[in-house]
Amino acid sequence: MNDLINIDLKTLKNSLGDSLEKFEWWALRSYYEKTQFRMARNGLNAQNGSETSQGVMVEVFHKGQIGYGATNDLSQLGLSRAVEMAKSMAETQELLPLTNFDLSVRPKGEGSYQSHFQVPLSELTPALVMDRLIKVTKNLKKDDAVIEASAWAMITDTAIQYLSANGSDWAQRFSMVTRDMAVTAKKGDVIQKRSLGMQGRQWGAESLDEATLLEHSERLLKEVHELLGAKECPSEEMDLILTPDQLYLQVHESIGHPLELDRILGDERNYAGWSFVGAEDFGKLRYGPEILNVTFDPGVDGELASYNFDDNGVPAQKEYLIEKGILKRGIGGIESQKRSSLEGVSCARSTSWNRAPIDRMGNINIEAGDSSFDEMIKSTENGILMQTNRSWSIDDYRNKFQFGCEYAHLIKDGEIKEVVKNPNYRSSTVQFWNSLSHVGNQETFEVWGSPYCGKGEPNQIIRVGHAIPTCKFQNIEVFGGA
Amino acid sequence: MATVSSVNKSWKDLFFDIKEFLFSNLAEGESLNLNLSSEETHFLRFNQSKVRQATAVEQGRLSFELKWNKRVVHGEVELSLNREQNRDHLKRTLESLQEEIRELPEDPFYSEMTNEGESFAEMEGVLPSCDEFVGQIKKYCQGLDLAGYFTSGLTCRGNANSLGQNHWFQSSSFFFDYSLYSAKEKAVKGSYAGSHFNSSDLEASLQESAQSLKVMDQEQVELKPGKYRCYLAPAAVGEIAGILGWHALSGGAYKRGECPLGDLYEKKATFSPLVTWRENFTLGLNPRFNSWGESSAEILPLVEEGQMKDLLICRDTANEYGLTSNQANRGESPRSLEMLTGDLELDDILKEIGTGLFISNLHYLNWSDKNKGRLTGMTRFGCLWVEEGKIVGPIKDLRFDETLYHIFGAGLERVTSFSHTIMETDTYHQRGLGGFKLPGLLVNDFTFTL
Ligand SMILES: [Zn+2]
Repeated sequence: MNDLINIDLKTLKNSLGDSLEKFEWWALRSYYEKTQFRMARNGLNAQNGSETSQGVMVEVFHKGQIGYGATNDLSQLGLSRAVEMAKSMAETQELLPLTNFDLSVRPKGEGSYQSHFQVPLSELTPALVMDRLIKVTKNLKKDDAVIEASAWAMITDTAIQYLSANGSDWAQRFSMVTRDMAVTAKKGDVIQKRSLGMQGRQWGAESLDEATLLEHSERLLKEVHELLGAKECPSEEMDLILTPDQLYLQVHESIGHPLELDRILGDERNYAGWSFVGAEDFGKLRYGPEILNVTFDPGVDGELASYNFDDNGVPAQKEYLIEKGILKRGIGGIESQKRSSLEGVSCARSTSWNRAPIDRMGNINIEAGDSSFDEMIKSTENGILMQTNRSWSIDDYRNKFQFGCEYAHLIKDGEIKEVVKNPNYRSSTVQFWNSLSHVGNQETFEVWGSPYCGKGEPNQIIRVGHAIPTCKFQNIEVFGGA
Repeated sequence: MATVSSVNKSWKDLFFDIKEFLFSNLAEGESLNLNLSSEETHFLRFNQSKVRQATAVEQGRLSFELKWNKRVVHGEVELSLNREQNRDHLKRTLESLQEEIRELPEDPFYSEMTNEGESFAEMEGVLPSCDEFVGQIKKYCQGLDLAGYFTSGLTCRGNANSLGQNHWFQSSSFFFDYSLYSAKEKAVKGSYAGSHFNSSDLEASLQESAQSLKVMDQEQVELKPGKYRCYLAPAAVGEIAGILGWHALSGGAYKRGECPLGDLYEKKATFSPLVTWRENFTLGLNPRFNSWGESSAEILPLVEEGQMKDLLICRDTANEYGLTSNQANRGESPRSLEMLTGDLELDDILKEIGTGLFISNLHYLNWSDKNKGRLTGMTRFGCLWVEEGKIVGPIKDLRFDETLYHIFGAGLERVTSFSHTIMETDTYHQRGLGGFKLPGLLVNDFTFTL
């Protein structure tokens, strides 16, 4: 797809003359993004598409309020309309404001960020990507039991720039690939599916290395056949070991979301929900045992939400959210920190140029512990090892959850035994995290992430990262299919 | 009262101007299908009955489907109200798609573009200014704790292809999606949506919600997991209808082995004769044309008295599996689903529950065993415990895990004589269109697990 010229924000700003100077404060945030989506199915070319998005969000501080106006018309006329829209939104808000911020919520930031990668995304030509995806699905489709094989890649290049009245001037450039592959097989009435699990990261063309993709496809094909012949997952209380391709979503739903300060402040009550965590819990609540350490870490190489600035322009740095099991800090940007008088992190983020920043997860990670994978298995008398998420649901206070996985092995007397199908588990958040008995070491640690976390009114999706070791939980309610 | 801004007049002109320009740049043997979606929207976000954030957005997106020599490529770019800027980058977009298509393998299930005719629908609206709306919230929400958002403005959808097909749909509308909270953190959900705003309707909606909130102040009831008799109000049924769009009615998903209603389709299972589902485009919530410009039947029966009549089948699925298309959208999700009403009167609901649950809303549904049609989710907002036809109090929220075959089959006892229109409030990337028209359901032995 065409390489649209990246927005030159300073030139756009200059085109507005002095029309911004009449405000106490202003900022311009430009957002440019180019995404390719390619998919193969059953050894054949299935879908080729590309999208670009570009626009500018204007923020003005006017009558004591911040108003937002967004446009994709980058002419002088279009931007002037957006300035007027931002002004009128500030005036509307001033009629009935929830908060009265001062300008300390928009600190000055200068610098840049660039994703690390080995091979630039520009190496991934449409024909090359499609050729690899076709090979993968041919490999997945090589026997008659397979009714559907698919593989896709979403390749994204994003550039954000920010200029403000108080001298902020920064730019960030992200190189991202999300990939997945899946195989569905049928024997008699049994249908089972096995997938890689959607995996998003900041990386380059190395993300679609042919040999690695083919290796995964071999493993998934073998595993879907095991599932076709497997017994139903038993329904009983047992020890549960979760690998990072499931545990990342468990962390996302039952640690990330409830710690968001805007949920605690009630902004999300009508949509995403409230939180069982209250302001009084910070510094006190025992979220898990001593071995549980959870961080907000925007500096992990390759993780999907690594960055240097959030969209309020606040520099980002690593912080402990849960330290030795105790809740320390919330996931809230500078506005929520002011409103709640709680400590937060630099995480006010927007899905694109057309939405205002709100509190979002960035990279929310569990720090590696010291248990080896073998130790976790050996210490298990009666348990189950579950892999790859397939179903998730949690209540609006983030308490009662239920997850399903694609693939599991029973563990008996310290040994991995047979494969079972349709594995699920359910529990409540604090009880679950307090049943954590082992945190895996660096060898079990993997970087996962999703481009699809939804929240906010108006709605916004955001990219989140979760770098996680394998962990073990004791006495969890496990059950099988219908 | 103000009608929407005058800038909007140009979206339609702009689209028909641009399509001519792009079609004139096609090479021999190429065909091009275009879809526009644009909007001018104001979003007011509320917490504690006050404005948390206010954003105005002007945006348009143009998507391309280019065909050449048994090949297909898709592209999507910004479309602004600035004609000169558009011409420039749209031409470059077309050129890069023309280049890319020559690099790609053939599409295995290729079909030639067709001309599916013309349609034009424009719904005028009367929308309040943001200042006016905020003034009314200030007036009607004294002493109430309200969270939610007001979304208002113009939404446009256009389709045209190089064979002469033309469709246009635009509507000026608003929705106010909100909830009210009691001091004990109990909540009720409310909504007011339409195209002709009237402050007394807003007031009535808020008053009704405030009245319902009073019931929530009674002592909370904590129930053990188990099977309960339940009334699911239309909004709760709406959450279930929402998840049907995730493969349950998709012909393609059935063929790929991931259709939750596969057993219903194969007649290995049936629903209750009380169940009739159909796509009903006469509701006017959504354009009848899909992204290929094909118009669906005004009424498309899906389930009739418990028997499945049809899955949703789009052009691509029809080509791949040799089926007949019923002009579904690419995702094969319902766009204007209606469930027909039954005979349970509003005033008889509590009596008919007897002892059980009144469920006003559900939350965060997901398939827990997809091929068996089993789903899990939570109760949310204003759910009540009822004993011998009398409300005892609000419940502590419960997790359910139950199959569609039970909810709409063996477990279904009664369907209400009334139904509610539930408007789409999705605003990811852009304002969504569409909605559902649904009754309430009385279901026995509904399974709660946590
Ligand atoms: Zn999320």
